[in-house]
Amino acid sequence: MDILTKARKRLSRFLRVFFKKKRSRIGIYGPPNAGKTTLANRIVRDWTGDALGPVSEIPHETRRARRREGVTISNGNGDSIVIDIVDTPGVTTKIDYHEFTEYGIEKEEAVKRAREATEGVAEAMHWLREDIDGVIYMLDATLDPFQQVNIMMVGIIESRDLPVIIVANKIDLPDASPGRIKSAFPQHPVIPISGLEGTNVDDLYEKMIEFFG
Amino acid sequence: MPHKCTTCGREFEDGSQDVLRGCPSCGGKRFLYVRAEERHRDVLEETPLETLVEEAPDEDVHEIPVEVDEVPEHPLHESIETIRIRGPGSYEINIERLAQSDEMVIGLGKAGQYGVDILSMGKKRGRRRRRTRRDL
Repeated sequence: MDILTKARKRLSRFLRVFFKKKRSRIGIYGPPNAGKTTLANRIVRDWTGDALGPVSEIPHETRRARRREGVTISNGNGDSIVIDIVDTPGVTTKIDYHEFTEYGIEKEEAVKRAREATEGVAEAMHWLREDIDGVIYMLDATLDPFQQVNIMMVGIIESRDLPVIIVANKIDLPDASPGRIKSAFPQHPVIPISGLEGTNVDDLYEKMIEFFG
Repeated sequence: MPHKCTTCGREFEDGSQDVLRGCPSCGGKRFLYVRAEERHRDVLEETPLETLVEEAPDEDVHEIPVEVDEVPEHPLHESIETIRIRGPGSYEINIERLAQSDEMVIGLGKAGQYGVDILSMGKKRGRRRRRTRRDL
């Protein structure tokens, strides 16, 4: 770590103590089924031994934002941050109940889920506007990152001057191409991980301490 | 393959769900039932599908009823609504508007019909806004 980074960290720690800055609230955002809840569960389990919410292959399983406060993340050098982690519903521009009936869910339940998922997107955007200090933007590395919703969301996050780490998830799958995500968002740090298997999450923790601290 | 999309000519196997949902290639909602001996008639006799549809008895033409406007008049990012409800359990979400405020303008079914959530417009400003105001 260079001297400048060390100095910046010391200064930010000093300012935090001096001004009693509250802990950072980090939102995990991204399209449905990118692995947001899997990562949120891993972070909370790694650092508190707990879990945050259920995971499913059905999109929009998380339809309300879930929050865990006071999670301390540290590294071997004695650096640490205390964050509130917010797992948000997947942000998308279209929700149709057929997405759920394809998984064998009855129409009535599917319509209800679609309505809740829509409310969930509104809630996720509300959090982003009002109460988030930094963003982990999750992408499924097996899919094309150049989708309109991703470009739009990263643009919205940038326009709010929020620090963002882009996570290229699912690198355990053979089709994963984290390089494609790096080339899509060269202006932001991109960390390839497997949230499911835990591959590379230590790199993500290190980056979070550096970036959100 | 007893059904053909009358817009693009794509063929569908017997019992295909696409005939109920709409053509995955062109979004067409009208399908013509074609008997095996007439399957290639449109190509071999150079007869347009439209003519075959006109000649066919009514029971051979299957049309999916359109409940709501399938294509909004304007792209959603240019429109005033925050969320458009296209039908039960079917929504279009304008995330750019949601990123600006909680104020809800709901588009209903056909273009030009809106619901306005006045309560959402009366909510007090959020933390970030208050902080900015105090700073001033």
